[in-house]
Amino acid sequence: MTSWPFLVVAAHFVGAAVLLAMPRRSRRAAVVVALAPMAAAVVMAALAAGAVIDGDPVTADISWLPALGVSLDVRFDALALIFTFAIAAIGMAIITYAAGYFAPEADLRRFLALLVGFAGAMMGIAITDNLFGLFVFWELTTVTSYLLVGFQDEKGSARAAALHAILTTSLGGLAMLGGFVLLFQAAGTATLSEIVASPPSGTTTTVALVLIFLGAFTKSAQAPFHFWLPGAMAAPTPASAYLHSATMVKAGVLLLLRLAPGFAATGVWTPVVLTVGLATMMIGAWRALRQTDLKLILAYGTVSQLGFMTALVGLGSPVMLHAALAVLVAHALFKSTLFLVVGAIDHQAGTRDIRVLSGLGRRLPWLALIAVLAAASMAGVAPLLGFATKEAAVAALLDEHAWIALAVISVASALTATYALRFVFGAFGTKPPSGEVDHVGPEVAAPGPTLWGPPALLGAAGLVFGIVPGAVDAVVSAAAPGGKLVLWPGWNLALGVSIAIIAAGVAIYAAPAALAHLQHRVAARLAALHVPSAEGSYRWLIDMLNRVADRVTGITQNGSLPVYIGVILITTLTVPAAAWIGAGGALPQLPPLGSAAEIALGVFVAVVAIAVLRAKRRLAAVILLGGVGYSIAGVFVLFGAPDLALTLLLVETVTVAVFAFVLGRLPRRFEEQPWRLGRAMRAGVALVVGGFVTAAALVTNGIRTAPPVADVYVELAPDAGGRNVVNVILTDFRALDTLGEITVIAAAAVGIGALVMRTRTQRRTDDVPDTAREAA
Amino acid sequence: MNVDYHALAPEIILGITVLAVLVVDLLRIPKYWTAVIGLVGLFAAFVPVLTLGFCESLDFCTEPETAQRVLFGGSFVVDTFSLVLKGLFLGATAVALLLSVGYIEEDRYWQGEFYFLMLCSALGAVVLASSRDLVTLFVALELVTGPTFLMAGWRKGDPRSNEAALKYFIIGVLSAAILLFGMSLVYGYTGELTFGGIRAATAALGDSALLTIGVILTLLGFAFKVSAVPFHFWTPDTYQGAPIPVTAYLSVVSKTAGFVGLLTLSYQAFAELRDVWGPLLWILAALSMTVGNLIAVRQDDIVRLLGYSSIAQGGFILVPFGAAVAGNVTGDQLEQAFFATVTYLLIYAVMNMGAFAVVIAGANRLKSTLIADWGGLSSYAPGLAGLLALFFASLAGIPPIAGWFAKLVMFSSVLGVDSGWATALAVIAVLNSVVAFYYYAKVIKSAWFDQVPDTIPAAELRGMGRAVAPSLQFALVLTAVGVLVLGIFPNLIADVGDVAKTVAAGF
Repeated sequence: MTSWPFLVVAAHFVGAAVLLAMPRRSRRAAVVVALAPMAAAVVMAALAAGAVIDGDPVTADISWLPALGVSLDVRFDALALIFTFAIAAIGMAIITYAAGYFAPEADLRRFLALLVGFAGAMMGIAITDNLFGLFVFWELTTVTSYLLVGFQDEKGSARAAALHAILTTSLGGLAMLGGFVLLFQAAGTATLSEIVASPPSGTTTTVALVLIFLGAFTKSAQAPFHFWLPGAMAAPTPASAYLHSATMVKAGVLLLLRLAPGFAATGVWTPVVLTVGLATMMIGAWRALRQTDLKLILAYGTVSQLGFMTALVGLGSPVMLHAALAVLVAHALFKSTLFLVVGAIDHQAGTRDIRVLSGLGRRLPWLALIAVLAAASMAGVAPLLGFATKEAAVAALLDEHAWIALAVISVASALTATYALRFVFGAFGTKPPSGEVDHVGPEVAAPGPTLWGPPALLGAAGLVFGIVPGAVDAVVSAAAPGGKLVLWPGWNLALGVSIAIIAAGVAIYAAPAALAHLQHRVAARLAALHVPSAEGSYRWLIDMLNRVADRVTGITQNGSLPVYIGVILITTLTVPAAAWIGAGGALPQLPPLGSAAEIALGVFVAVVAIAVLRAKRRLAAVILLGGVGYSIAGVFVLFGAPDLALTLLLVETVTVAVFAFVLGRLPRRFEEQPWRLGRAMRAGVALVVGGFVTAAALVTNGIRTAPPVADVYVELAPDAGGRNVVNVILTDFRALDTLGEITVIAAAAVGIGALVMRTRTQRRTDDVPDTAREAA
Repeated sequence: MNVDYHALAPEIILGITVLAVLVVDLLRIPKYWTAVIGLVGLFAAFVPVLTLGFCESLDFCTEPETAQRVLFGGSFVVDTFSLVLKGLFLGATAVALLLSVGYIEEDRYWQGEFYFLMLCSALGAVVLASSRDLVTLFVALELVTGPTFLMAGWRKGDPRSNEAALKYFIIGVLSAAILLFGMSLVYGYTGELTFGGIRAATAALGDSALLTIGVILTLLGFAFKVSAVPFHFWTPDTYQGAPIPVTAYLSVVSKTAGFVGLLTLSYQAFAELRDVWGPLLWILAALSMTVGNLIAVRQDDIVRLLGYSSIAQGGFILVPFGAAVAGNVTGDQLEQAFFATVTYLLIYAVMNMGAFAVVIAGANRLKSTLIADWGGLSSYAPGLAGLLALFFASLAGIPPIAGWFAKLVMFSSVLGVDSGWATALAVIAVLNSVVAFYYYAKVIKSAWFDQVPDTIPAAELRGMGRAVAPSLQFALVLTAVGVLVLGIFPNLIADVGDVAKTVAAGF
């Protein structure tokens, strides 16, 4: 069954496609189709579990682009097992829930298609053993989550938030791709397990890791990229429960967990990952205390918990990785439960504002019980899974004397207990009546079984696994051996720390005035320091992008052809000129001064050319331009080429005549140029171009290496039986060219003749459509 | 003279098609026959491309074959590279022709002449793919460009179309002059016209400021064709003013022709002068990506947005050239860079053609190219909105749609080189990918998440507007299948990876 995991992933995409093809009305069938691939995943995971936990991962080579190291190789190890199981089991709960959550007119089928597609991509991340395959699934989760966050079309905020989320994560994703390419170059293989088994080192690896961190941090909402996650709460709650608690945001942590065994010892690992994780944990917990929207409390809580996991992975030792993975599992359970509870409240009461909700606990005691169980797990209260995992983390920190990390994590955990209390009492507590808001609560109808069943199951799982942590520990230890999860650690220092944390959390909650004051003080201090908030920075960045774009557009695309040509000319001059000077190119050699006649003619050409520019009337300008041409013909005469001079005279005459005809249709005078600077610039460009061409002509003549072809022609002319070299060239040396030219001229003449005849005999047909002409 | 007619068959068939279209146009039969003949000719010309490509595995192909057929003293070479690009040109022109059928027919103006010009231009492109000397290259390039000047101004009654054609023409002529000046300097210095000869001469004669200027001016002439900043000025105005099928043609066939010139010149003729073109194209790549993207961000017209996006995509296609900026670059890495550019060109052709096909279908229906007017497209035209998402996601580089693979090989080509400059270009490319992502996503967002604007009459929404023409449907299906197949099975391109070996041989 080696490629079963891959087939299960593929089944999700097939399921998504089937869902999209189904008629919109068949909701029940849609739910069944959506559940099927996830059920298959659960079965597959259960069947494989025994061998995988024994350290025998299921592997399969699925070649995609062998030449570039890209494949979809499967490696279904314990880590993949945990993720697959969580994705599928929680996914099934969410699908059931969504069926009750969405109003009949909503397009449930499309939502489920996106959700199932997302689940497939997420599982793909977990089971793929190839960097690039992982990237492909990674980006797929980004796209599907984009569509899921923006699913509630009618909300403007949802659209903005969706764009926001996808921008942040795609920036990270692209950086990560760069990191993967570098890592691939450094390691010589794109297979993750091989890279981790014999990790490369050096500058390239360091740069690669930093880029990969960017991908992981943006995906897992780490500071300073955390702000997209609260924004994405505009998503429908089932999507939030799935993406923003249990699955997608864990992808970053998963990637770090995969890389940690090989790279945790790298110099860049612990400083970056630990710092970012701790900062995120603090920021998230701190901001969660300020929210009044239940979903936002949970969102910032998620940010904080993700920071917790990241910090543990940052420390990097096996026991820390074990603790991080355990926290991840516990978090997936309690946070999805809490989200689903919020969804049920929102669905029934129409609000999630803790200032508005009141007395819900008495009205919906069972829902409140579920919430209390999950919140207690979040706060780390025994005998829930959250307690066992936090205990493991604290014990590991104590063991390794990571005092700073322990201090920060303890403070943030105390705050976690505080916002857990705030959540429970905010949602279900009874508030004193106030004149400002109308409370909602006692009249709320009880939710249906699809709305309370799934969270009840997930919440109960947190309790069961808390009492029997061995079940979780078996798998977690198989993925990250080192630590142990226990129900009751016995009286020791770690337990003391845990109790102190919860006590501190309760104490902070009991003093809301002091907390509010402190929050206010800190906010004021930060404002005084002008520390930019992450969200402000994002806004500023988008603003800046738009403003720079406007400026660039205004400058480069002003629609003026002269400006366009000016820029092109300047570029074509400066680049070669720079190359010329850079190469130490020869300076133009001035030729010897010519005869008096040449000089006089030269001066005459210059004077006439300047006169062209000064001319106010078009006709005068054209005639003067002709004068320049005639003078050049004079130059040809002086250098003994009367035939060439004659040709030029003819051409010039015809040109002037043609111009004169056209001018009859144009205003007599040039339009005035009001902008003096513009004229000066044009003159400048013209002068520089003229100078460049002159210099180039002089230089190219000066560095001739081969004898000029003209000498050969003169030498050979007598053999061809002629003395006029031009004639010989035309009729002998290049006779075939002449024949071609004659043909072209003849063809052109025929064409012109036809045109002239046609306009004489027929009315203008330019604007008559083909059909009319066909009919004629 | 012993001429290998098999090798010339695509050009000969296309030439006959051009004449046939011209003659049929004179007959008093419905004008769409000109389009049919053109299309048949394009597919017919594709047959010898295939037989040449798979010559070794075909029975009737008896001549002893090497990887390439050299004709006319090395001026015209048929190798894998040129065959791949001939296929691209023929396919893209066929799609452009399919796009044109409804569009040009609708106004009923000079259909025969239009297809005649388009096929002439395509003939130029097909010749260009095999051109291996300066004169053939120039003639082929002008054959590509010349007809497009007229095509850009096809909507004679529309002042914007006139402006489009005029700007395009003036800047085009200026660039041709620059190109010729550069070529004459190269020829003057080396005394050679064929790329092989130029390469040998530069290796023997060594460096010279004059040669450097010649090379720079030649390449800058091509910068106009590929709309590299700062030679891009004509692009947005022309793209918007020209009929949209012409814009599609310009942005794919004409642009690719320019890149083919850059590829053969850089990697063959100027192979010894990497220190000249490496930095030059590095700068053009960085500028094109950045400026094209920044301006695209603020466009509210979808055609103009695609115009600027094509400038930016041109920058991405130039990125692999930037690998040559490193002094220590190896032959393998240059081959990979060459491969990256060809790959990107192939994928870009499919996805950009598809994007334009969607725009034409939408514009037919909505009578507007403003992105705001496309809001809520998914609610009344889900198929079209899905295709729009597909092609724009591909342009943005989202796997598993073709565009991502192009981006992957593009990044790899510069990241693989151990040089700060190459890495810097990769960083610029990544940042630009994100900016590009932003505006592509905005279009998708508009089509899928926004409300239908009030300005769109209800009749259009109920499908009372014109249905998508069969020719357009065919084009949409072709390109959609193309981006999906190339995205999921990029091996198809990787398998023709030896394109680099035949052209860039000897690194």
